[in-house]
Amino acid sequence: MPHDRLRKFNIRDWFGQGIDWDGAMVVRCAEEIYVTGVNGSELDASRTHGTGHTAEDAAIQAEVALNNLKILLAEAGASLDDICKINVYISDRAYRIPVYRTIGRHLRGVHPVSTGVIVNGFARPEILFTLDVCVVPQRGTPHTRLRRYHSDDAKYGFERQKIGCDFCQVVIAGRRIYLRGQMGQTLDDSLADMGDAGTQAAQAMRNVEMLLGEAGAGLRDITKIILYATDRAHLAPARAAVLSHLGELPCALSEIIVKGLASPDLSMEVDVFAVQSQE
Amino acid sequence: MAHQRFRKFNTSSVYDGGRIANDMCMTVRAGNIIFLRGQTGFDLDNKFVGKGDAAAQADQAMKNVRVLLEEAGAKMADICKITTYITDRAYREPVYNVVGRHLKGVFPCGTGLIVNGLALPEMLVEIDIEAVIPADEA
Repeated sequence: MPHDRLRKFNIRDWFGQGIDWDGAMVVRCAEEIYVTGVNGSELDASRTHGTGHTAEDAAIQAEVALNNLKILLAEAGASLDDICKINVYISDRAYRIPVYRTIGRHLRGVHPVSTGVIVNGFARPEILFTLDVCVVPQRGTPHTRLRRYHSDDAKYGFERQKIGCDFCQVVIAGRRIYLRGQMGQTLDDSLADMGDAGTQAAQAMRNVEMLLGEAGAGLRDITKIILYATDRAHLAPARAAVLSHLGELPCALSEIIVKGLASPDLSMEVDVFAVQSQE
Repeated sequence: MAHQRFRKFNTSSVYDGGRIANDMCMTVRAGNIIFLRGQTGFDLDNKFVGKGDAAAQADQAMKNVRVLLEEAGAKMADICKITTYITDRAYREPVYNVVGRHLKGVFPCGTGLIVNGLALPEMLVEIDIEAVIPADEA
């Protein structure tokens, strides 16, 4: 049976864009629910909120996005509680705290894993923020969320940030395993010196291996890695460290150079996707 | 069953100098879920297509997607999520129209990001795809 594709659209019907591109806001499979990145625009594309390029505007857009997400998931028979992973894309570091505080308020107690990236922009210049989510409906059995933490107790690079979010390091949802984006920090945030991008990537992969182990899985279960680096110069050493750690377990890799990560102290981050392989 | 990994290759064949040798692959199939390596202007014989032409690169990337999905037992209609990375806003309209042509009638979820760069400076667009083969067809 084909997947359910809800709220189909064509980009040419949105905001006067000359683009013929068929999409859906939600694709519902037997296990996973996929969602188009949500932002500060109304679901019917009638308007975009918070277009002033300030931190307050970013918070307004995040509020709209989370409300839209709630509607979309409800239409698909799911809820915010089913969210496993979030990817928060912002176009300026100044938007980080207001955007995350808004997310944290809506996802209080959910504890998804999270990856945060600063990019140059989105579909239209007035968009300051986009949220991607990975969702697996729980159907009576709650997902396992390991190493839960509150963001304000954690370190981002060497900083503490009052972003007000309940997160965790690992979500096990059926056969799927979602990890927090891993950086050069140890899992207990104890590192005094993070070193260069290669050193950071090696630490990130040690974290990945440990977390997968705690989830009853291993490196063999990794399917896809997205490597983010903050400068082209960081890419080669980070890639080498990531791939060396995997040894002879080739994965599908994407490499993206971004404007920034959670803290200026960080040169790289890896987003690792894994699926429990059957013995 | 262990995950199936298609089109394994060594990074020394792709990146400058060939000094760093690690293993990668183009496709991982985990049960009925398909993960693809980010697709770019490199064709599947590792020839770069469309230097300076984001639309041509996107066209090559989507041709790769079709081949990779089919050899993993999936099809374009199984695509659930597409993430499109471009390095300049000016590429959005040409790239999306090309990708939209390849995806006509599929209706995936999408996220589009403008980023500082991709693995190699000549890459202007990269496309990440996740596909799920419906349970009764897997």
